[in-house]
Amino acid sequence: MAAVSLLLAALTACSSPTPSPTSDSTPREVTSTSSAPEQTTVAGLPASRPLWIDVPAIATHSSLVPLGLNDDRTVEVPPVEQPMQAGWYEHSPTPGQTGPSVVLGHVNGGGQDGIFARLHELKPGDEIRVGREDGQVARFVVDRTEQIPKKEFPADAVYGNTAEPELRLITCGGSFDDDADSYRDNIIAFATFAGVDQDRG
Amino acid sequence: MKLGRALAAGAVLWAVALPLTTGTALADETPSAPVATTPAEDPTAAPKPPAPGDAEPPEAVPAEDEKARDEKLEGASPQVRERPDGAPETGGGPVDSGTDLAVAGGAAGAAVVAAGGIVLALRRRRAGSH
Repeated sequence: MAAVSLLLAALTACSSPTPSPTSDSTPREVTSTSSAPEQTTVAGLPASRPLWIDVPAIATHSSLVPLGLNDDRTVEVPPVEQPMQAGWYEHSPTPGQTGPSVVLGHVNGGGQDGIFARLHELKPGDEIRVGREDGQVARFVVDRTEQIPKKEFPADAVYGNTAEPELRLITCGGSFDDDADSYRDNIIAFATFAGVDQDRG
Repeated sequence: MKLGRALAAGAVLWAVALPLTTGTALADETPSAPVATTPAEDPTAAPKPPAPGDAEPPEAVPAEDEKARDEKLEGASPQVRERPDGAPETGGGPVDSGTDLAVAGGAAGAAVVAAGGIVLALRRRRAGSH
């Protein structure tokens, strides 16, 4: 009988439930899977006037002049006789501040290419750097570049509130309307904040 | 003889106990399969986007969160203090090319030559009449 008991004990031991790490770990996996994705919001910088812009992908560099509104409430642009001059719309956030900062430049002027003549070549991932008066350089990465008819200018997408610091570079594009003496489209590059460098001057 | 009886009894007991223990073993193993699949079917997990779900970044904000965020942003004070009207006019017109200048110069030259020819023809006509 002792042998029988031993045999039974051995059989029972073989079939006893093994400690199951799977069942123990399952709740942890569920917990981690079910945790709602966190909304990562990039903290913005304090206001500081932008001094220059650098877009290496299209070999563009310019100082920035402040631009306001014309009498007809259209946005001011740099003098067309100085097509290589870019400007920052002074009623938009400064680059690096939370919100859409707007920089404008000519595609051409005075019979020459302008500062943003190659803006349409920008691709997602291209870097844009903006030097600020406080010595910080706000870095942005291009999300997308769009060519949009001026009659359908996307004011909300350009000027609407954003959760993070963003940047819009705007110029003209498309065919030229001789009657209206104006290009039919705008080229708009949308970029998001990627971090800060120190201006080594 | 005793050993034979003991072995026989042991064999009988083993035969009886085997199905019981096998059942227990099977019962122990059964839950492991659903446990392994439970996380994928977790109803509290974030909803999958309709398009290429697996390719979406893990940080993608659910549609409901995006909507709430957009509503919150729209309700906040405008970050662009003065919203301009219309579209920016950031082009002075097509760039002058060398071809255009050459065409204009050629046309001007042709006009000069034509005018000279007319003058000469008129003078010869006058000289012939005298």
